Amino acid sequence: MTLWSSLRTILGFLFGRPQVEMEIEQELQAHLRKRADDLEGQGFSRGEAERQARIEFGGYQRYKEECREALGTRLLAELIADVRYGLRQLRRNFGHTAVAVITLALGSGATTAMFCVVDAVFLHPLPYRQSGRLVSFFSSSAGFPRNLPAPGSYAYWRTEKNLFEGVAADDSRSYRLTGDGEPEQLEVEAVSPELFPLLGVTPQLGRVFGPAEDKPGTDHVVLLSYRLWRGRFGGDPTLVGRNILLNGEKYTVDGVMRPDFSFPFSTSEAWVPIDLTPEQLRDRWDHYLNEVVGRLRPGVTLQKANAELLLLSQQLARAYPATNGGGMERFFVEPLRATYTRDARGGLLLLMAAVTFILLIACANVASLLLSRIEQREHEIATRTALGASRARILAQLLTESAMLAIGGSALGIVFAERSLGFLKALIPGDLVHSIALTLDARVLAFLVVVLLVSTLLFGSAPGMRALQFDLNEILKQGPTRTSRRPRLGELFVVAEIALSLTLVVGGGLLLKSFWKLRSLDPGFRSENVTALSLVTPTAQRFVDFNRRMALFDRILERVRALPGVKAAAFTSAVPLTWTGGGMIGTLPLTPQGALPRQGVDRVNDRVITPGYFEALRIPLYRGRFFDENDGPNAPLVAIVNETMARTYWPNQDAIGKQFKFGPATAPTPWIQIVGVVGDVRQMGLDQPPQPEMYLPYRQANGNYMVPQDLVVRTRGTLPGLGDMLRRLVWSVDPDQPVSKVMAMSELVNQDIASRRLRAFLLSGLAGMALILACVGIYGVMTYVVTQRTHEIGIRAALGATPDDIVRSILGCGARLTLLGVGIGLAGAAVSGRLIAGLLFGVKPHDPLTVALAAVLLAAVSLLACYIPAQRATKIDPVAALRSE
Amino acid sequence: MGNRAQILPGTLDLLILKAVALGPLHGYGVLLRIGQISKGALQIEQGALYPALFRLVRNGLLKATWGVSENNQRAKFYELTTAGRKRLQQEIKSWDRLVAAIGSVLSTRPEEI
Repeated sequence: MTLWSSLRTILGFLFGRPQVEMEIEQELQAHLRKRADDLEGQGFSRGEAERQARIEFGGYQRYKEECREALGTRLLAELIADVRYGLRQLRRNFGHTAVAVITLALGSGATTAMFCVVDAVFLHPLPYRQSGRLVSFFSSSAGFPRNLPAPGSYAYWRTEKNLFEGVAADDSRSYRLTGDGEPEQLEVEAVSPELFPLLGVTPQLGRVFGPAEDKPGTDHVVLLSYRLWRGRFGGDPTLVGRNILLNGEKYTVDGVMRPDFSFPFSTSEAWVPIDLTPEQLRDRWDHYLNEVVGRLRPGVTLQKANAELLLLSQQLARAYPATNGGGMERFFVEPLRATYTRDARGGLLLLMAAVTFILLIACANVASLLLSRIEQREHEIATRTALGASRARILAQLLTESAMLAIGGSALGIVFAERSLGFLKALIPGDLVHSIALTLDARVLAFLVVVLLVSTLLFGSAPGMRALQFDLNEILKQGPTRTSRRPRLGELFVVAEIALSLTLVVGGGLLLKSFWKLRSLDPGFRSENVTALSLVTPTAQRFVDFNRRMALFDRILERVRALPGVKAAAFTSAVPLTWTGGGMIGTLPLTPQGALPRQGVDRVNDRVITPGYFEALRIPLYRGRFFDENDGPNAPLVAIVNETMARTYWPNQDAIGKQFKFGPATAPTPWIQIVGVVGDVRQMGLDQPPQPEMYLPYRQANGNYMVPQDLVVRTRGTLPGLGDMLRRLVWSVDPDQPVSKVMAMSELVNQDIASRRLRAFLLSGLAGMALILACVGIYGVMTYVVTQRTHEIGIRAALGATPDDIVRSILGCGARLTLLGVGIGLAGAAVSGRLIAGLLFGVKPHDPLTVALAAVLLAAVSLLACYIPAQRATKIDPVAALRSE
Repeated sequence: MGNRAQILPGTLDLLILKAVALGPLHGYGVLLRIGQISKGALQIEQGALYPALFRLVRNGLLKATWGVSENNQRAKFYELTTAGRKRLQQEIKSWDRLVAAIGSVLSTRPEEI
């Protein structure tokens, strides 16, 4: 037989089943009629003839069934019958069905949406060739476990040809783009030309760098990001080959990258060839390369590469003991994806676990719902069994109903998931936002199907198992009235739901409390009414001259301070909470005077500021004085240190008047005197403890790598339009000066904790969802318990039990389950608390207040869910309850 | 009933194919023709005919079309397909071989051994 004909039969059967059924019926009826006609012709009466025809025909229904089987449609027919029967059942209990479908939709929707994020972030390949073999390099030394690479280290790594197909470096810079339009500060990445073939990316337009384009003379070429090309240049295709002005110099546009290319940061706007001088390539001291990426040779494992790199770092340590920064430096690589997803990992896995809990709760909910239904249907099932339905048939029919619920729930769940992708986008690690997209692709849908199958089995098997235990005789003997039986499985589900929800609620509570702690934490400065903006000038040719740069700052500050409503304004090399991405900024090794010789060299953050900085950010002065205009180039060198630095180097002493110098004690650098001690500022992020830190006056900072570039302005109240005002003001001083990152300081603070806020709110939202689901589930089971006990309660009432007695009895049952659930949940919360300890801030994983509140909340919700059915139980009329027997 | 024989298992298909080979028939017609050509010697339970007919159609040996019967009623007519015709030839041959073999076995006399 051909595949086609059977397919046609099945299709015909699926879509035209009544017709096939009708044709069988018609044909058999025609036979009976003709036979009867013939028999009548032989002298039978009509009635006799019809009877005889039927007898000769044999078992009519049996042959009809055999005909269906011959058509190959019996299983299908059963399935369709089950589906129809199921639909009828589900429609008849519309309320139950709606609750079940919505519950499942929430569970499967949340799970699918989170899986979509996890899949995109951790499983989907990055948009590079064989992205799994790409690694990023780090160096670790005492106090700096994941330091950025120094160019001197990169020089060694790229010679490891046995390990890596290629190694490329990236140095993030900031270039001024001028000509046609307002001056703009660009985040430009200076990269090794081999980066592009190494990653395996091709441009949208034009070409990537040639191998020799990093040599002086040919290195004024640039690749633009798709976003810059569209935004600034209107997507002009003739731009390739033309020149643009970067820092006032002509750069030829070699090409435009694709929309999904952003390396290493999502904010990278253009790429130029890196121009590391031989001198820089010997520098193992300054760790400023933002990214060094390599491609493992086929067959080289991560372990092997790391073992070889460890060997290399040991060799270097022996060869150059003096320059081996801060004790033993050790190189290592990790997968590029791991570097990108490091910060997001814990949070995403936590949320994935949370949605799995939601799914489990949803399944438990639906299972208990179906369980209570199955008890009500025992008579129906017993009858069907008595009429010859096999156990397999009954199971199949119950599973069909469950599967229909699951399909309905999943369909609705897809809608939920699709809707939630919009805000779940915020969960993608910042630097991957252009590289990966959240879509409900085939893999996610396949995951949904698996979820669907598993959940069907989870909640569908419970009523199925129960149905198999039915004692046919007992049930049929009793008729359709209820037997009183404790729904043990249902009680088990209640306990499980309470335990799972409590675990989630505790987790959500801990994250919320962490967020709240962080929120109310003193960052060391006052962010309200402060606006920050960035004017990157340092490397511009025209400001290489220190005096010209000072003059520019002075002119700008003078005018800003003259604006009405401005209380204070100052420049700093970096406002707090910026530069948190890659690691330390401006860390200098130093030697405090009179300190005992220490192993290695100490490193301290330094910031170069103008007078007025502490006033603008309201950083408190503890001792000594602020900088003033007298701290000029010819005055004695001075510094202000933060409390942590004072305490670290001069414990139990007054740091004022103490001296330190940059570099080792023998270095020919001048001594610097401390004139002030200020409060600690959480520079690197609100959740990072303050580091030893110093401030240097900008008039004395000639030659310091750190150059003031960020302007902070404190105003009286919020001044609308201040950003534009400042921009215009800067351009009136220097029309070619780009102004970027104009932002309220409070916004920066919010951004710093945005990911924590999102995580805390999502998890609390999920915990709330769990709570509601559990509440519905408990309510369902308890209602059922009351229905089961109607007869018993009726007798009790008849024997004189008061409504209070009855409520107490029902609540007692609920309380027992609640206590058990809360106990298990607390154990679960203790385990999960330890697992999420890394995501907490200022809160212990077993924070007694949070745990106690969560337990009380859950117990209250659970008892409330029991109270309504208990109240209903008191309304039972003993006479009616007893008569129904 | 003494002169009627239950048909051998597996031979119903052969009978149906043969009956239909003589000209398109509806279900009842197949029954009548088998009765007619066997002169009433072969007894088929009438209902059993239909699952067999459906199976033959599904296996592509018969083709079924709806038409109008002699007394103006809608009826399904069966006819042989090419595959059915081939199958019938094969079945007849193997039946002949079987009958010959069984016949020779049964007609063996003691002295021939």
